[in-house]
Amino acid sequence: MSATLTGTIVRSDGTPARGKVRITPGFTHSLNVTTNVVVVAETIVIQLNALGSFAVILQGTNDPAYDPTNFTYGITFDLIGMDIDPFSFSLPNGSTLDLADIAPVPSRSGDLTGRVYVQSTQPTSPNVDDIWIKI
Amino acid sequence: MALPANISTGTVTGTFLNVAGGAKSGTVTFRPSFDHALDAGANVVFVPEKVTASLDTYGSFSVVLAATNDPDLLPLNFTYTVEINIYGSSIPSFTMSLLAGTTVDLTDVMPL
Repeated sequence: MSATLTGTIVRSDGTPARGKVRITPGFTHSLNVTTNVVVVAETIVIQLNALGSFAVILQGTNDPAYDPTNFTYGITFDLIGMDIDPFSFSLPNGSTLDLADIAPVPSRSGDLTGRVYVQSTQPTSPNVDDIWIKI
Repeated sequence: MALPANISTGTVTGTFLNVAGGAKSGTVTFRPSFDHALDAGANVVFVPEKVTASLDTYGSFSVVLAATNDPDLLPLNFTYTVEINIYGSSIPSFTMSLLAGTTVDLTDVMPL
């Protein structure tokens, strides 16, 4: 069974981010003995569209038909002029999750020079290095 | 050239996808564990050359191989080493038996 991950990444001034998102399953391979399918751990590379958005359908991370079950995905960002730390996430069967639901918000005391906003409205008084993940 | 008529065979199948459902391309190779094998009934010497199966557009393959438990082929009960050569894959090689007259899918024999 599959699930959907969506996301929109924009700068604090509202302009869409440009670049790619890379998603890698946390297994070497998984097996479905019912459908006789081997799923390999290939990294899925998704290009952001002109709005800074993407949507991808992936194998659910808790599908009992596959072994191992309850794995996680790792996500990294290859964005022009922007840094977002990689993180791991689960994607339950049949769900549609947005990056804004699962992206951790880093501490302002971390290594990032800007802040990450996860909200529907454009941040007020953003700094040039801030990132806005639009819900 | 086909296998000698007195040699029993088995079939190995497999399908490889990525987590987005995309069919993978690449090859799966099978290398018998013997230095050589003898079929005295047909006067044939088998060498341990790898057999390579290529994935089709659906990420699938099917290959017919000499069975590993055929008493006409000595040594009896050899194994095949299976190597997966697929972009984006780091599946380690493993060994398998292939009994006469069976069809074995890789999901049934591949270790996690």
